[in-house]
Amino acid sequence: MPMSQQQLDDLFESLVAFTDLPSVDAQNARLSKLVLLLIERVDDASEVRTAIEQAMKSESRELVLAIP
Amino acid sequence: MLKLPTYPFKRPAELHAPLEEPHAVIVVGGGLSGLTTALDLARRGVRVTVLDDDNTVGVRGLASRGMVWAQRTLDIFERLGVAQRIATKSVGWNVGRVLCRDTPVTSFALQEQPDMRHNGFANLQQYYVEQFLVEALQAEPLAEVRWLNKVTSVRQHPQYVELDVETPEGHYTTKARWVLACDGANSAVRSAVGPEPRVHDRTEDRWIIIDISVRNQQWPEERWTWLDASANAGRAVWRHKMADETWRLDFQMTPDEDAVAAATEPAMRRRVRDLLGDDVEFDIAWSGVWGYRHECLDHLRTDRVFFIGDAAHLVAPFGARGGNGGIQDADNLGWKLAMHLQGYAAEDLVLSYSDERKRAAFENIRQARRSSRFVFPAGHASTILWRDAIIALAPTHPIAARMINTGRLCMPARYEGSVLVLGDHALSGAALPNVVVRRASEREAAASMHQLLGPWFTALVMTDALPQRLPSHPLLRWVAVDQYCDDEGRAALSRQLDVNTTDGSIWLIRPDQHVMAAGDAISPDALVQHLVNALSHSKTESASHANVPTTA
Repeated sequence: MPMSQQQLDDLFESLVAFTDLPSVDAQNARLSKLVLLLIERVDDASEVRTAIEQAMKSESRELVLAIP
Repeated sequence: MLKLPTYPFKRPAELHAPLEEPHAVIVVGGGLSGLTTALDLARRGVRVTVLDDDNTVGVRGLASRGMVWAQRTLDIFERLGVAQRIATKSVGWNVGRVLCRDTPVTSFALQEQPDMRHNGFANLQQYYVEQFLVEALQAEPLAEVRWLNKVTSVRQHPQYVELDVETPEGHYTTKARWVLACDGANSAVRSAVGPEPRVHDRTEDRWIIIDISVRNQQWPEERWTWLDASANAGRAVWRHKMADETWRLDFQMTPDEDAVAAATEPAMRRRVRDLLGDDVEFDIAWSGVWGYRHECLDHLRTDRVFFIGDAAHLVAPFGARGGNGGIQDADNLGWKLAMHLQGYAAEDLVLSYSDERKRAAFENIRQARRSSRFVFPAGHASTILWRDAIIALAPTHPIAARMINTGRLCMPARYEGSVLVLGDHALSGAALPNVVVRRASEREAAASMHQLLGPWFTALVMTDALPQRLPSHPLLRWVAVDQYCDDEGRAALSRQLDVNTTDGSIWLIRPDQHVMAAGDAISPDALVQHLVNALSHSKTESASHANVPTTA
């Protein structure tokens, strides 16, 4: 069932509160954990890879794996 | 160019002789909420006097001011007899577009609503709405509008309120059992009586409104929002069509911009041309610079004075919640005060106005704060983080596009938790959707749900004929709904209310068209008892400021 507008707006508030931290390092740490937990919920490597590509789409460089 | 109407000063009776009996109701402020409340009271049989310090409609001349009228407002205006004039003069719209980096990234179509009596929204300059309300009031024998009557002081007494009034022909003192302060954000009555609004936030964000009459262009009747227009130094712009080929443009100003310089004719013309192109021919109908703040009184009543509209609460205009909220205030208070003054209800009924409308104001403030922060994050790093990501992904990802918040448009208030509501039906406390139950035919006129309602309370029974024995109440009308429906209407009611018109359920509707109780678990006797209790109840609940999420 698609999320309602109100649910999306409430989620946005949660995200803003989630990353409302004084340091970028602390922000990154929280975001990393969030991504890992969402990966667990999605449970689909292909979907996650597609999302990574989409997130990087606006950047000119491609994802380079340090250890392929 | 359009000229506002002017209304003559007439010598009030109190300039000749002191008043013997207090007025029943004095409304201070002949603006949107004051005129609406006065019209409602007069049509409900209450003598009402409006005092206005001006002799025309509108705010600061031809300012479009509130100009998006929500479906709920149109329903209220229909009850008050002015909706047709507004519908005829206004511009309907159902499509809104949002542009990021000058590229359309999302649009929303307010659902075409053939099931409903009125369109989703109608755009019309506020001064037109006020003019129609004034003309409707002039036709009411119980209403008197006193132009150029400025209230200079207010004194509360146990049984009445005393007001000093200044006019072009001298001062007078008058009194009223109830005073309705509808005199706007800088309410003089509020200052005199004492309560200070609680400010939820006040930002440095400033906007310049430029209303333009366009001579040589036809654009679609859509709302366009540029979130970061390159033509406006990367800041937001709104474009709305109104009546008379006039367009409302709201330009967000840069933080260091000089307001006086921005409001000069050359600067405004350059701004408009930068956005719309050099070939647009236009006149500037009005302009003004504004900032916003969110505030609300702790109580919308102090003794014998009620606060309505901007005098009670202020919201940023994202979502058109100011004017529409004020009209819903009037809608909520009018019937309660009328019933109390006519001896049908205890004073407690009137007091429920403050609880119900304060909750509604909180919801409006909550929604407007979210929108205003999205549009103007004011350096808040976490908001900017997500806002930038949303804008980047919006052109290609619908979920991101839906998270762009340039204003969630005003919806009718729902009075959840009100002492007047019985049961937990999904629509309890909500405004009854004005579903069209019968299309016009050669034999019959069209009908909608609100047209089935009586002047006071109505029990809508989902049946084709009323049972023979039903409990009676002098203020209650029983209506068998199915007999007014055609097949399309029955289907529409099923879609919109999830109700079968022969399932026997009963819906108790208040005089302001809100649902008091609904469902098949409520017996007719219980329903009438609830009505009796509501008119004599002695409990009130208080919404707390602590209930307002801190979203700033």
